[in-house]
Amino acid sequence: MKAAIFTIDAMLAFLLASATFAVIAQTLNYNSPGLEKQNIFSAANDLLAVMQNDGTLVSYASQSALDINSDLAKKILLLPQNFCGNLTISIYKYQSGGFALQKKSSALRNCVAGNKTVKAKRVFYDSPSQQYGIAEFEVWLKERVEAPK
Amino acid sequence: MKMKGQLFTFDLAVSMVIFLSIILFAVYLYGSINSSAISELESSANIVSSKILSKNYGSENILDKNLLLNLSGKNYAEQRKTLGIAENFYMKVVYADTGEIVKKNGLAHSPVAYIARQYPDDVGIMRMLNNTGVTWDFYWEESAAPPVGTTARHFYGSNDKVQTFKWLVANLSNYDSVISEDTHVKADDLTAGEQQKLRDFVNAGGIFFHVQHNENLISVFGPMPVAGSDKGIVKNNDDALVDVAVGTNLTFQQGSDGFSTISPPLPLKVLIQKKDDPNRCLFCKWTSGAGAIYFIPDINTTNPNGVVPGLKIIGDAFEFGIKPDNSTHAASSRRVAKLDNDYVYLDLIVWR
Repeated sequence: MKAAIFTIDAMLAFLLASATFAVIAQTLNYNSPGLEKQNIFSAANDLLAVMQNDGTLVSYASQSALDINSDLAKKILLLPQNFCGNLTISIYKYQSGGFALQKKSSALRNCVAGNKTVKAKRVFYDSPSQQYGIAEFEVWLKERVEAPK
Repeated sequence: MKMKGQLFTFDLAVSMVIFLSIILFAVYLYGSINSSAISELESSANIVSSKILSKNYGSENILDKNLLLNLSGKNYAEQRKTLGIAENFYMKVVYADTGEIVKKNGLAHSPVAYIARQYPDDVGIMRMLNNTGVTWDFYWEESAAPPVGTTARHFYGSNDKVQTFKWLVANLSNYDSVISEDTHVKADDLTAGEQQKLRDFVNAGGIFFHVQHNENLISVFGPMPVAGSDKGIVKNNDDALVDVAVGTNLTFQQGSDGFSTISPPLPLKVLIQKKDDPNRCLFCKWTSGAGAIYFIPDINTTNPNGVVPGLKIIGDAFEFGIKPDNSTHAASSRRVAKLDNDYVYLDLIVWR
């Protein structure tokens, strides 16, 4: 009987110690929400930033949807290899009190989608044609797929 | 006795459960700490790479070239301090289209057209280009067969020096820089149209580097050669002449021509001046449009070790830190950025 009491004590002590350790471990591991998506956001935002700065986005306002598609297909290849993404450009004109869609183009680098998806956006304006544009870039990490055995 | 046996079995079972729980908990804790370490490194890689990219509105993601140049002059410990990295790191800047590491100086901007004439005396630059990351094509004026030991991407050869040079001119749009080593081609060997193509190439941002002690090919661009000397003194540093003290004296193996510094037809930077004559440059750089033209009478000096001190044909790469060959934990970051007119990747690995 003494042995049994001793074992129950030990189990209780172990359970308490485990719970304490688990709480401490979780607290030490706590990261700001979204921090794990920082790399993915950088990948999406970097490409839109350089496209905006070198005038690429604004130049889309005066191009055909076909030409934009062709350029987007090249630009999306700049995305680092371990990412996939969907890059969309929508051009609007403000008329009759609302925004009317003029053209929409997109390029996709497809692969198995992970659960961490981030979307970066840029808004731009082409003064000569008085057109507004939205560039949206949805990016996700390429899922590692095991080869069939 | 029977009861004792049961107690013993119960104790054993409970103790096994406790033992296995401890093992499982330890494994969980180890995995958790490991994953936390990777997250920290990932976060560090991202923060540090952001420091090197400009953040100002309208000029986001422009690579801070000054910071990179500043880093180049520091040792590893100082580089880590500047970047704020507590761990080890390896960083490089590569062109997005070719994967080639970006150079911080030097004349060989890939793809390079290299033209030379005489083996083995006048292929010194071929030996420099060999087995580097530079993409280069070889135009060979001596014969249709390539000289021994070339690693060029494409080879164009003929024993007609003018014909070979004309092939190069016809292909200029394929290159970012031209390196011409003792080709002995004269300006009037080229048609007016070919001369214009050379000027257009430089104005559009090309580099034309010409090694020649006694011909007038440079006059295609405007400057006319005058009497020079084999004795020079360093006046300025440049991407082509790096970390050599101003005032250094040297004697070229061959040096007869130079260029006047008075009223030059193009903006002129004197890198090596004729000794005791400030009106003559021997190693000269003219800017024209977005590009540049270099002239040097010889890449070799009479010093025992040969090459002009500080002369950078290949150039040093934007590559820093230590590769993670023996790491236990590593995280990488690849950022898309702009450097001048090129899309580049800033690759950073932070590791333990």
